[in-house]
Amino acid sequence: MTITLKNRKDKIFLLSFLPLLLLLLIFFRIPSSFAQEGTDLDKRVRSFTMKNGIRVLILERHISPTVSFYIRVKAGAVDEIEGKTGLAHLLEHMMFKGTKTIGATIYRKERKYLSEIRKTGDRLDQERAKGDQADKDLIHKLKERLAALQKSHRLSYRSNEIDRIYNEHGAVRINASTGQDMITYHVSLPANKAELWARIESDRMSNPVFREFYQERDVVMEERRQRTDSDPDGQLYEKFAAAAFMVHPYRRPVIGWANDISFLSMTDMEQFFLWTHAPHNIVITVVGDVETAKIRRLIEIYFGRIPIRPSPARHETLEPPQTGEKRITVRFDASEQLAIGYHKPALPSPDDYRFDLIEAILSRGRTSRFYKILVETQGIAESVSAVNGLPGSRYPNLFAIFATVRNPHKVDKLSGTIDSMIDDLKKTPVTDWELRKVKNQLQADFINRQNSNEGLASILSYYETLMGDWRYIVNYEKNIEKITPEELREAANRYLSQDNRTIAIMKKD
Amino acid sequence: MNKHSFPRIIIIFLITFIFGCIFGQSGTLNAAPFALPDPAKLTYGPLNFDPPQPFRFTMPNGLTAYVIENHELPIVKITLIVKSGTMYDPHRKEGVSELTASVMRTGGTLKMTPQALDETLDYYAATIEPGTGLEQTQWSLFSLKKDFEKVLGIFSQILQEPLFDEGRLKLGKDLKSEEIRRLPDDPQNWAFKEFNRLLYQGNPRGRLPTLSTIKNIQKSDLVECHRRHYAPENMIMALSGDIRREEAEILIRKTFGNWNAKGQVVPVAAPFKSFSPGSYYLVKETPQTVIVTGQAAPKKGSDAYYAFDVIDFVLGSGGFRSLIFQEVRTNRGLAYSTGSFYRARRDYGVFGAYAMTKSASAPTALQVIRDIMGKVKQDGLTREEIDGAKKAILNSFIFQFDSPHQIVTQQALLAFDKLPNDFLQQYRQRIISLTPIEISKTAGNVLAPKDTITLILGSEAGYRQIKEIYPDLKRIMINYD
Repeated sequence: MTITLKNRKDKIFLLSFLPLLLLLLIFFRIPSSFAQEGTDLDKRVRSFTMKNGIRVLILERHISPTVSFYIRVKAGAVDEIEGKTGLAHLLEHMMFKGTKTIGATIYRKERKYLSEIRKTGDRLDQERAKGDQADKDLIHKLKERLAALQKSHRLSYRSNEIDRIYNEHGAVRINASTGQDMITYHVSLPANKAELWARIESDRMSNPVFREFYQERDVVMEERRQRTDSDPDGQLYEKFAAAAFMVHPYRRPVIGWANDISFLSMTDMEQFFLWTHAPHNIVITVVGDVETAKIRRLIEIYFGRIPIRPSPARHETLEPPQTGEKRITVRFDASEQLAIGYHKPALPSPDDYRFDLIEAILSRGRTSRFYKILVETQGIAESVSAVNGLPGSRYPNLFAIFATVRNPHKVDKLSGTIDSMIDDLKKTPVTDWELRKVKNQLQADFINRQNSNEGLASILSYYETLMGDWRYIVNYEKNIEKITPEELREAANRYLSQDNRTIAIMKKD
Repeated sequence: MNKHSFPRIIIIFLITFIFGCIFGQSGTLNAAPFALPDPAKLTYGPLNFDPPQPFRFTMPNGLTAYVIENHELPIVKITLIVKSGTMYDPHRKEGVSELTASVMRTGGTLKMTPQALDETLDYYAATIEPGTGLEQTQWSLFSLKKDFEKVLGIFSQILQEPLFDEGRLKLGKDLKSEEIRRLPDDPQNWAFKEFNRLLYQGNPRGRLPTLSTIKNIQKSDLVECHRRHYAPENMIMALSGDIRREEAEILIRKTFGNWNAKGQVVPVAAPFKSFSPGSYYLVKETPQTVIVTGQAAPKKGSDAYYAFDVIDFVLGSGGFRSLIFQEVRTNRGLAYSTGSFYRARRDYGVFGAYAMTKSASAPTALQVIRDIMGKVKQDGLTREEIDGAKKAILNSFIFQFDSPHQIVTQQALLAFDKLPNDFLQQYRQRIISLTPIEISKTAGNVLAPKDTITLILGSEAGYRQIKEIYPDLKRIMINYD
């Protein structure tokens, strides 16, 4: 259960002994992909849409008797309403709490407890919301009552059953993630256990039961303390995004503002679940040692039951053009670093492809411009990375640069040098060698990503969800290949201006 | 030449298929409204797998290689395991193994300048990168098939004739120094580093690089580290990819056959020969307290290893139902990250538990973890817990063979640890045959609440709170100068 935060590339921290936790799965927008001769992806993927609107992709891959399943829901933090931030992510956690038939002993009886817990929790939150005016005795009583209800409820269900069943059947990488644009549930299983997956997932996509809601809300508060409140990168990123967007929901953190999280309710959750997890928002992807016809029938039988549900009409809050530079300072007990972001359009704009190349030219590998000049030659940065497409890719987003300063230099000098390098990009076309190099790199990325069931399931389902067409990745090579140095220069001039940017600087004092 | 293949592993899981109506009798299902079956009553077909077998050869100079062909994609991958790691760093030169590996990669070779090397690899979209660990360094090579021969040639130069360019050495030292300066910025990373230092007390594994040890490292130290560790007899290679086995062997023999360096690795004693337990507190003003507590544990392949793997699984590494996770996180909402870890090595093992929780709940979280471990030490595990863990371990076993590169790397790692080729098969059998009595005995013997190191990182106020409960808690100050 991770948050998909777009964050610094070089900071994917993976403490191997904290397996559940820390895959701070930074999902940089999976920028690159190609139809490579010999991989034949475009011919091998089978896709169909079910009557209820669920879209399905199947790719047979018989390397070992294992299979990876990805379910992506095209709804994420960006779809929350004001004051309810963190709802999508908390929902993703709650989706592990079982269903009416998984974890339940007698669901009819359990419902009474759930209803009482909801009422008591709502009353408690109402009182807490009064702040200084709250009745402390009442809060105390309600807390005790909630705890007593939770204790009684605990006797009427089996906790964490989804995870137990999966685990005991040999599942690995059981996890889920929430981003601005989508929520993802994924698991890999021995190939003979496909039906178990269909059984569990079709059930929780239609009948989740939100047990242990208030305990889990506390867990998410701890997650926020861990990822955002205690972590310099998390701190800087949250404040940076909030400054860069004035009105668009991309300005809000995926995990939610602390105060919002602490008031999320079970009713909010149920309503949000119903419309976001409607079949027309769901993309199922299966990659591995399966037979297409059989897995298709399995999916139709299990997931075909899920009724069509409407989603409310949504309109996008448009971010007005930025009309002047924004600068913020973030005080935190950590070494200096900075973030710079420029507004730009999202896919399918041709400029998005151009910024994939600019990203690689600036910061991919030891021969990239940023590394050569800022890290190697001038020695003013510890690390620098460029990331195209933050905080999400469904709506116009940012081309961002993150850099950490190297002692004894100061952040202003680093920022100034980055400026001059951006100016250079605007004045002088990149060399043919540079362009060929990064095109080669993106091509190799695409091939390498096809090396695992998970990698393939992830990328196929991502573009099917985002663009409504997984073939985006097959056509990517053509789109990238034709880009010229002059087009990159023009794109840089269109967007990389001082008035269009936000700079966030982290300082100790 | 020594050729042999590792024994065939044929994995057959449960065979029955009683509830086969999904595939078998769908007509009836389509006719009637479909009711979700009880997950416990689903049955599954057999899972037959005959994983590809690595081909192994050892060259006269001592280099052993494992190769598996995989023609799915036009790429070749190599993992090279080298007997070099931070535990071998001489005193006052801590950091030298890591710098040696990184400057081997960045500092050019006798035939290529640093810049030419970087540019060539980037242009081919190839990568050659080291990862330095405590006891071994792993190099990873990725190349498109079409460039493989050239990329392998560069890898060979890096390994055999690195130049250790002074400019790149300075860059490497500067970057490492900056990393050390930034360590306290990240509470979790910092806490685990300091926990390791305390746990491995009095052993080279517990020494961390500081600004002065990095400053102290000269080019001659890198040359010396390279001379001692980078010799064919100290490494094992795993290769998989779109290349015929014979061709791979010819290429490897041609590229490394004339390398006759002899290493001189000074063995490092196992830790925990002498050990003083204790609880320590590191102050950092942060809203969340990090708790790590741990102890010595059975070594890999020892009699207690198998039982303890199950114990660790049930205690805190086996998912949401594991005892620590269930209680600290699910039931009490005290942490997002909590659980246990068990890392078994050839001559020792380490076991520990952790939680990250708001300052106010740190004493409770620590107490809950201690109570759970105390109970398991005293009572062992229930039959249900043991069965669940066994099922999970055995059913997920197939993922040990998920990709050809994983299979070939695994064999190389077993060889590096001097474990038998069929270690994984044996492991599976040993897990199957574990008895509750064996597990209780192991839990009683291994879990040692009085012989643990506990490191808590948190605020000043948090320190005072915990100190009241644990008067023996020692506050530590860390200086990385």
